[in-house]
Amino acid sequence: MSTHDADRLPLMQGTLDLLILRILTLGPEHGQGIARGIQTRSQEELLVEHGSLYPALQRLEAEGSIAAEWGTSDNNRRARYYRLTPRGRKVLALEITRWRRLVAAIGNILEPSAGPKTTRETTGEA
Amino acid sequence: MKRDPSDFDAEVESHIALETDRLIAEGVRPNEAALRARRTFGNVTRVRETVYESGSWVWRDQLAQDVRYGLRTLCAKPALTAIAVLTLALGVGANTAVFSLFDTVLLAGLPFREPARLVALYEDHTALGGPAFVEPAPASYVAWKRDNAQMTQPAFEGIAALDGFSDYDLTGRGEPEQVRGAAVSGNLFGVLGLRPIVGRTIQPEDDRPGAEPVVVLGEGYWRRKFGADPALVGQALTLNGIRRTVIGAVPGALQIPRPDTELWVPLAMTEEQAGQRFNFYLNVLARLRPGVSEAQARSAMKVFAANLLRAFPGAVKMGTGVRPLRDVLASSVRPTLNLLLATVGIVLLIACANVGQLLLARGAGRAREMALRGALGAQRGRLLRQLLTESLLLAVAGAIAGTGIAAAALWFLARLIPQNFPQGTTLAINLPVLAYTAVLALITAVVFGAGPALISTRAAPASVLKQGGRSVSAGGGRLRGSLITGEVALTILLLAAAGLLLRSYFQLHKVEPGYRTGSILIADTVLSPAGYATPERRIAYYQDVLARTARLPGVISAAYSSFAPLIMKRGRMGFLIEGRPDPAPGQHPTQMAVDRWVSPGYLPTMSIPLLEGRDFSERDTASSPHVVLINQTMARTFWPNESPIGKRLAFGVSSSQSSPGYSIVGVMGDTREINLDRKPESELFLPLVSGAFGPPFLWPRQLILRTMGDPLGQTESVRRVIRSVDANQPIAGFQTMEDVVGQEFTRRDTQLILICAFAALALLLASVGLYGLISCTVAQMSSEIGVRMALGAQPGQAVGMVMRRTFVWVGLGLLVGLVAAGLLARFVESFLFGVRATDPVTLAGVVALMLCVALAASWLPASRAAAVDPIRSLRTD
Repeated sequence: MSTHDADRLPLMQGTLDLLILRILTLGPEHGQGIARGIQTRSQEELLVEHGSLYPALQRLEAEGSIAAEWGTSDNNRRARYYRLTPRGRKVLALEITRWRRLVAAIGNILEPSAGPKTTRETTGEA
Repeated sequence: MKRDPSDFDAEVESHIALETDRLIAEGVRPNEAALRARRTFGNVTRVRETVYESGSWVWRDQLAQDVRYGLRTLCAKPALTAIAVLTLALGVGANTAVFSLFDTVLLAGLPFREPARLVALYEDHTALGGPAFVEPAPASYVAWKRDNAQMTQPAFEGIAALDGFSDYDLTGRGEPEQVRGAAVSGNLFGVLGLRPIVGRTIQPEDDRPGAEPVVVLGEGYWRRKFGADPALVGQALTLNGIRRTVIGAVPGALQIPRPDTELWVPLAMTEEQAGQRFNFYLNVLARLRPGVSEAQARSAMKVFAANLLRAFPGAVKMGTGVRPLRDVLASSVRPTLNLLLATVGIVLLIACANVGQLLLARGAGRAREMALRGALGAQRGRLLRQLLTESLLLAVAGAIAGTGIAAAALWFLARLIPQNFPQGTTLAINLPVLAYTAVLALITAVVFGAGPALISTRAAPASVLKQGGRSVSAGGGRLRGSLITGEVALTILLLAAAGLLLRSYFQLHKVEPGYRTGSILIADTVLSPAGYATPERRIAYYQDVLARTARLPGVISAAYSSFAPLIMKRGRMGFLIEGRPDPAPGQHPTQMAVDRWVSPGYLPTMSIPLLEGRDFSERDTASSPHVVLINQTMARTFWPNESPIGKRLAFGVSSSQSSPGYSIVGVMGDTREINLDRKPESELFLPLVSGAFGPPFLWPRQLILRTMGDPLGQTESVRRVIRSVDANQPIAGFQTMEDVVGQEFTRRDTQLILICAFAALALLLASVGLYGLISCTVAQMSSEIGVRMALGAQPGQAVGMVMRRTFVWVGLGLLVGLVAAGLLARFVESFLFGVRATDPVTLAGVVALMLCVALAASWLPASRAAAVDPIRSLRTD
């Protein structure tokens, strides 16, 4: 896999928090699992820099969006498990909304012919 | 919550292990898998640092580190640290102590409900050439009260009055006793929001002529005299011969208008009393309605004054005044307090300059350390933070020591608490004061620490390290020079203030009061209107007492006066001169003179010289023609080119309505009756007998004895005499004239001692600063001196060179200080007596003193320049 590393997309500024929170909606996970999760779910398109993953986890923990606890992995290794807090869920919902508005806005600019899409998130699918 | 770094390391290890497991599961060989996992993770140390630094506890770690390091550096140089801490302690301590006084007098709560809404109301007589704040006449008070009630939105919730100058003889309860009391309107306690501790307070129903006489006691008197007996409520006390029912007791907080007031009775003004327009004696207090500002109250009062003018056409053009109660209470000490605050502020600035200089000198020695740490990657901000932490440590140590110094000095400052403050008011290092000190310490640390810290971290590491860390940047030299200039200028300011106060002090002590102060005993005996209902009885009492006291062994002579000098702080009367035009109808007479009523023996007893004419004699009786004595100033003012003897005066609104005329029979020397620190003013003395015919407050009350030995040795025999004349007549107290004069000086003395002490402190600090500066300059210039001496310069020239360089800064400081002293002169003018604020003698003396001290402080370190060994100083560079 390391051979593809150079082709992978670097994460956009500020999206890592969003991705971490999203992965954690699936249940508690440790750092390596989160990194793997982001990579596999992006069909190996996204590269997670460990140099920024742990500071991001640290930040999210400090602001109370996630909580951490030592536990045991499936293959019996000790690992620090992160889970979403209620506050984290709220932050995630907010971040998703903002992300969708951003994507819609950028989309409107890049493909103006795509129709009169509003930049505001409405109900249902974007 | 702090996360241990090892916890994070464990997490990284677990991550790598999990990744290795995954790779092995994908079929990678174990060795290869472990390597690849580690490689993918990247630089563990960097991640660890990022995680650590983003943590919220970092600053705490760094602070702890800085504090530890700071303590170590400070302890490494104990002498320097001790000097810095002591300097700061003196500066901060002085400020803490003065703030404690400030807090007590101007900020701390008064024992009334919402004291901020309490104001005192006055008449303004400036249009008549009188004072701006005059106690209102009853008619004004009554009119304001009515006008306020008629406003649709009254400005005041209530307006109350009190007459504080009444004394009460308590009889029938053991030894007769004289108690200070006040007559108050029925709403006073309500307006103040003062609740009784037992019983009830005076109510509007009590405040009517003919109502049942009642009395409210102060807590102190109730405890002292009656053992705090609650059963006293409902009992009767005989006060001035009137039986009054005790209705309650209030906390001893009502000290208006004078201290030690112990009981209150209803004012119960008669129609006639309430109509008085030219008798200014009521203290009027009011409570602003919520939301009404002082300015609004003032404009309301303007309307009231205009109404009053309409009610009496052509009446006196008197204005009105509104002052917060707090200001009234603090007014006597306010100017002194401002002066002290400015003084200790200056002392603290000088202390900061000194400590800043010490740090700068040390910073020069540490330039190499800072440069090295900078070269090793320390950020400048981080270094600054560390240096400021050190400053803060110094400031905190200084503040703690300073608080101790302040606590030790409070007793002395307490002498400045105004007398009319609630009894038992003391100064304390309380929470607000400590908060102030803490804030002050913080500011101080920044003030003295910032400059040196910026300078010692500014140098480029390369240049400092190359030079071996021995040269100091020119900026440090300039900063140090300006610190000296500032210190000298500030010291000059304080020295000038102290010098001027000192000269005023000597001028004041040179004032001839115009009467003798030694060997004079004053006994206070106030006759009660009930016991002495007729003038004849009063005159008989005075004559009896005087005749008996004059016969006492050890008494040279005796006299009665309405008030001995300096005791009564008012008492001036308008007069008219027969044959000269009256003021316009309704106008208050503008010629005023201090008025006193004295017995025939008064002038010789007080050694007041008679300059012309004759003294009063026993032949001046109630039925003989009225006579008056005037002083020299009055004679010169109103009869500049003729003798006043035989001229006639009248008292009242116009000569036609006044009492029969009084002939001037004599001119006496000027006497300072009210203050020592004012110019002599017109004074007139009237015979005791005419005082005895007047209202009670004119009845002579002070028995004055000239004794052979210690005046206080006569108190027992005076008591015996008074008892033999009237067993029910109390004596309110004894004083010597020397004590009375001494009290005039007390506040000035306290003020003078404080300012002089602070000025001396400033001088000391400035000389220490100068010493430090020159030592430093010599150290820096040693190589230059070495070169010059190697080239043939004499040691004396080297010293001269050092002195010249530093005295440029000192000279500049002198100049700035003198200019500032000139600009600030008008702020001290009001504290001075007999000397101008720009007095050249004082300023010259101050400059000379500063120069001498500066020379002395710089000589020792400068002479070290002469000892510089050219070989040594050149070799070390």
